[in-house]
Amino acid sequence: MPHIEELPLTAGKAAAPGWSYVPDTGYDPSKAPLNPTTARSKRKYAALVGGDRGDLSLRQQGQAQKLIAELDDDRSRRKIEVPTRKSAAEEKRGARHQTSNVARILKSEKTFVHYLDDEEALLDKQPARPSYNDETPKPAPRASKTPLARRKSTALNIESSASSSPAPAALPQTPMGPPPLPHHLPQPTSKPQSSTSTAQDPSPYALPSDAELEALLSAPPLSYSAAQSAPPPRTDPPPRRFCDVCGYWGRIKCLSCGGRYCGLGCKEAHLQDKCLRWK
Amino acid sequence: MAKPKNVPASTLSTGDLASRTLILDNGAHTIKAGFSSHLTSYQPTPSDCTIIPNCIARSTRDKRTYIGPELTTCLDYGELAYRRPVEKGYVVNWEGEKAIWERSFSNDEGGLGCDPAETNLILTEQPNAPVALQRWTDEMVFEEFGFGAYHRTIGASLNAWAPSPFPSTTDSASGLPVECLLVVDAGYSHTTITPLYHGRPLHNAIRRLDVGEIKEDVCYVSPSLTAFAADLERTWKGGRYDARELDTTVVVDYVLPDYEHIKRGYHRPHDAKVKGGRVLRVDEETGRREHVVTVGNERFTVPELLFTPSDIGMSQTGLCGVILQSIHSLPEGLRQVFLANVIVVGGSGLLPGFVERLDAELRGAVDEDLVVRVARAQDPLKNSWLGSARMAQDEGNLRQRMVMRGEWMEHGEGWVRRRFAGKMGR
Repeated sequence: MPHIEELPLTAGKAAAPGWSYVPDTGYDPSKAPLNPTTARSKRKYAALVGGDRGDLSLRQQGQAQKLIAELDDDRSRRKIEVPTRKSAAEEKRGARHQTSNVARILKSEKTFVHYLDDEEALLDKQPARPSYNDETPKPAPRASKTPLARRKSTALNIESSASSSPAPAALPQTPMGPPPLPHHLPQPTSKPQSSTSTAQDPSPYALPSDAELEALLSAPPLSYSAAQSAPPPRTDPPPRRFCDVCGYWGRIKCLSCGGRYCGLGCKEAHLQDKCLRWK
Repeated sequence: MAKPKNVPASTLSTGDLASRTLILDNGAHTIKAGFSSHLTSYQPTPSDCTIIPNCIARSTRDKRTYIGPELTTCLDYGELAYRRPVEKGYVVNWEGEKAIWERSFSNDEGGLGCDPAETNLILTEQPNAPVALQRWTDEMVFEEFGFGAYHRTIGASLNAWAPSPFPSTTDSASGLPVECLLVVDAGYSHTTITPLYHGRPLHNAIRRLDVGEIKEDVCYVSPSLTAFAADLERTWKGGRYDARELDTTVVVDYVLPDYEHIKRGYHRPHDAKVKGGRVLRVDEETGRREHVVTVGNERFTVPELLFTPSDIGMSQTGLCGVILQSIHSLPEGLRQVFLANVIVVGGSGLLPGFVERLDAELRGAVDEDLVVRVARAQDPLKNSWLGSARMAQDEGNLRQRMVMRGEWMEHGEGWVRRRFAGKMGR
């Protein structure tokens, strides 16, 4: 009898348990609106399910992003023609052949967002940025785009990698030649300054060893998005709201659109100009 | 000096440094530029540094286009359209930047009178730049401008050579960097936190807060969160049935310049007769018409964004939080050192109350037994430039850092980029 078996299509489909842990947010199905149509009932539903802290819905997040992008935009218009006049230096140099690279750079109309996207695509394709240390044999894990403070494993990783860095081999002549740890700094123990000692110092305030410092200094730069400040921790107080009209505390929320105002005077202004209830 | 075509413009042979070094602190708002020389013992001072607006402006009123340094000669700032080649701190539009640089290097009025072929260049950039932009920068400097020797570095790292603003730190000799420094660069595009060890940045701990560009002269920073609330109370007009007097020490009227009599705006305490936000009225004393804008809580709510970006919905932690993030990504032993050496540079650092607020917040956020010292650099705008000028005085420093044009031609741009990131020795 020929051997027949069904080959799994997806490789990683382990036996799923059929249940999973779900965070307990206190969702009470009896209080949820059956068919949320108005903005108000949608907000109620969102508040029940997810953020009790007033987490923004996707639409509100989009609005906030748009607002920030608008504020960010310094309105530098690219339509201004650059007058090309031969400066004195150019005349002195004489007509010089422009390399093709330079010509390409000058003509390029890319904005910063393009470069950022290109960079992120590059990171996705490669395992890591062009490896600076040729000694590392194993491919580094994919450079994560999550801001470092958000990653759970950051603190542990940095500590462990700093203390177990391959000391002698990876450290040839120190590149910029800083002086070795100046001697007037109090050395916690009388350990030799050789880079082979990776013993943990007893006091938490002791300076790390030369090897660890070198490892820190020669770490490659982070990508643009990894270096960004992380979102505030969940334990922080919720974000403060201000009146959309005058800037005072936004104590009152408009029933239809969710915009904030501070009192009756600003309420009128809001209803006339800013209310988004028909949108 | 006529040169035949297709010959590199540099007259320096490989291995020679020119006598002068041009230091360009290339910012998004302004370029801080000036010369330094390692052959003289002249100590550079901030007055050697010229500030050049890094933009191309077109005025529809007098149909002129102002490039870079020409903007200072512009008499009428009304209806100026700006074009900034530097976006988010990185040079993106080289067409415009080339024009600005050429105008700055020229011998015309306001220019520096610099011949790139006979000058070394130290250029600053922001950390975490996309690789392509770094490549383009190197290419433009060597190929298009023809500098003989060049060093590109993170702007913040040059502050290590500037005189320290802390009173208890002894001034290091000109060529040596301060050992540890945490630089808070509150600039036009964003605010970056860079810990430096002997002038070298610790890349893992560099953080960026995307709030920048607060340069209004009526702004100030509230001393604390409770004071912020108190200030907000004082600027409130009150509800409909509860009208309140505006506190005139906080609410001011800003008189807009009209470029005929008033060249630059100024502010004065709020006059209750000025109703509404923006008004055209006749000034009683002088009888002239003027535009007046009432500025109330904007004075401090805008700078408050630096400390609480969530106010406008940005999901980033404020300045104090991001400093702590940076410090916590370093080993424990280094944290105290950096907390005790926080220096504020950059345009937003000039806001009154900024340093005090940062000091108070950091103090409240870390353990009691840690020392926290925050200081503003003596000249926050020019501090990086000054540090770089002092660094360039030492020939040893220059030789270690500079990349010659010949080396670039020989080894290629990847090698040069790795050199600038500090990976390889000489």
